[in-house]
Amino acid sequence: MTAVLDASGLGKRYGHRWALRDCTLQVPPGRVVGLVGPNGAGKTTLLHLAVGLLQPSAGQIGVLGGKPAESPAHIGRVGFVAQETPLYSTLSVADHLRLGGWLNPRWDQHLAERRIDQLGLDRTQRAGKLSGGQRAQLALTLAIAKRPELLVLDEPVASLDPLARHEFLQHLMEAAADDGVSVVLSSHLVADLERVCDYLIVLAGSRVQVAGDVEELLASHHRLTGARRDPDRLPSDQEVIEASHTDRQSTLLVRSNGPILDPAWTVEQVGLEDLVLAYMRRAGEADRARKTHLGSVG
Amino acid sequence: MIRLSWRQFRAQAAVACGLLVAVAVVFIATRGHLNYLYTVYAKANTACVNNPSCPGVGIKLSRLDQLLELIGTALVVVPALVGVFWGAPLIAREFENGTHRLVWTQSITRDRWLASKLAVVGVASVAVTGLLSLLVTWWSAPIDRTHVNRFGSGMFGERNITPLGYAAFGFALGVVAGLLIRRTLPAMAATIVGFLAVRMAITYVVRPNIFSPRHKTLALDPGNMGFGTTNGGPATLMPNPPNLPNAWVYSTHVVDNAGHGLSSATVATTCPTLPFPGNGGGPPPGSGARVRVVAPSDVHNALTDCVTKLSATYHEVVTYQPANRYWTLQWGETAVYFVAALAIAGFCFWWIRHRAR
Repeated sequence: MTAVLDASGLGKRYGHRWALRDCTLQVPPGRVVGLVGPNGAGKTTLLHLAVGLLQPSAGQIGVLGGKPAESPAHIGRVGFVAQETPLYSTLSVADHLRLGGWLNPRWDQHLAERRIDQLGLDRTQRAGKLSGGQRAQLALTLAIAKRPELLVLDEPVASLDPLARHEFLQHLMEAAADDGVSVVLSSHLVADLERVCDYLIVLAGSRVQVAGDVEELLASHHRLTGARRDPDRLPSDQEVIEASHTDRQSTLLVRSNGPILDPAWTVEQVGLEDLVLAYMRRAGEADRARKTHLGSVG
Repeated sequence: MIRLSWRQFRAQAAVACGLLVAVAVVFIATRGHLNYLYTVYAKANTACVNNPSCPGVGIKLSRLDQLLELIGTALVVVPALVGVFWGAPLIAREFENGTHRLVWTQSITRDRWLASKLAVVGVASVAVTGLLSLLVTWWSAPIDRTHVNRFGSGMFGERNITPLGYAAFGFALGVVAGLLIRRTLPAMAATIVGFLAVRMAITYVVRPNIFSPRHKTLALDPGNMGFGTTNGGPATLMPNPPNLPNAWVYSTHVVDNAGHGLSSATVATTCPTLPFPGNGGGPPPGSGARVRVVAPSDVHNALTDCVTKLSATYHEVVTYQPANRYWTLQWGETAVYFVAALAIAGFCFWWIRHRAR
């Protein structure tokens, strides 16, 4: 099966600054993919590359077996909800649906109208007068009624209150389940993604830190607690993501595909949030180390 | 995509149409009276030219004067407004609100998006300005017939086809400013500055120099000569404007065969009887209605004597653009602005394809 997203060595540079670099990823179809990372990690850049708003400075990216936005037909297969859900504030809800019909040959007006009615939106209302939650729902409607195979959403719930956030994600899940659409959505909050995603990409410091099936990630990461020891002396198939030590005790977060056999360790499950935070902290430390190193050389 | 561009633009189009209709109503209501006034004026003027004792003919337009001034400035301002209010926000506003990300991820190419925007609003810009120019040209035809020079910096750009070129250029300039600056207000400011700079450069530098002017040599004519000083400078002979209907006269000089100008010292020694520094006698200032000033008879005789003596060595050289170049210049200038507008549009396509990602 073709990957919905297939990046190799992908990078985007603005002047001298790399917003994204060395990004290699393969996202299988039919998944709900969470893209998580701190602000400024390169999430938006990666998503814009995927929908063809940006062109890569390095490497390649394939989407649904083609180059992003290589043709109008290809753009039609990808639905996109941009950050802050931009809409034409002077146009009404009905105008937006019309716009969708004018610009998309596969547009499903029936589906769009049904969704708007379910949401209880007034069709004559101007988009500029809608609440944040309604705006997001209208933007999602526009993206879904295109009948895309892949739905890309950039921080769709960032500006919503908890209730609207919950409702939005629920609608997203229903739509994804109905059509079997692949979904990629970004957030800087793991909690949002934990509820809905079955695949996770952690992006920090302009690089992909870890990517994979959520269950596999949870199964392959462990928290080890035991008498203090040097983390370098672990078996070679165990990668230390994070280590903290007190005088007597070491706590490690390790990635290991096999079981932990050493009886000296107390092994615990790691929650998704802790797992993501550990990767983000590691990226942050690596970043600081690189800068300090550059500083001492310069 | 054309439908979306139209949907986004139609409120502004309605405002423009409303204003056009209002202008048309005012023009239609006043045109008859204006035409009557100028017919009477033209008749009186013809009678006056043939009668040496006629002191001159004037025309009093009362409130029509204000209207005349208003429409003059309107056609200068409208192409700039088109650039500022229709051109500059066209793309800048999409960038500002992030809606370019909405529209660029629908099933269309950016080329089509830009092409339809440029087509709808660009054609409207040119059409609205064109209709206004048509109305103004029609309304002011009675006045323009009495004018000596249709090439003037004001009139030339406020009649016939040149405003269409300005509108196309102003619009394109606004669009590219919005595309490059990406913010509406700064793009508007850049548009007005750029537009005025180009308009002034073409009006005052390019237009007078694009075709080399013609020269016409005339014998000195005592019946068509005055004398006086300019800005308190040395007194000299001052020929009245030559009779070249509708021509664009750059200058009228009195020179000898070697091309040297007539110095005031020469005038003073050759014509001691002329009462310098002159109490009038020069051509009337300004470009208003032509008034012939006839000097009292002794001054008149002295002047005739003087001119007759000087005409042995001196003659008059008129530098001018002939009247039949009016349409060449109109088409030429309009074409220059249209070509500039198309070049800018081409640049916009290139930028949106290659740089805006």
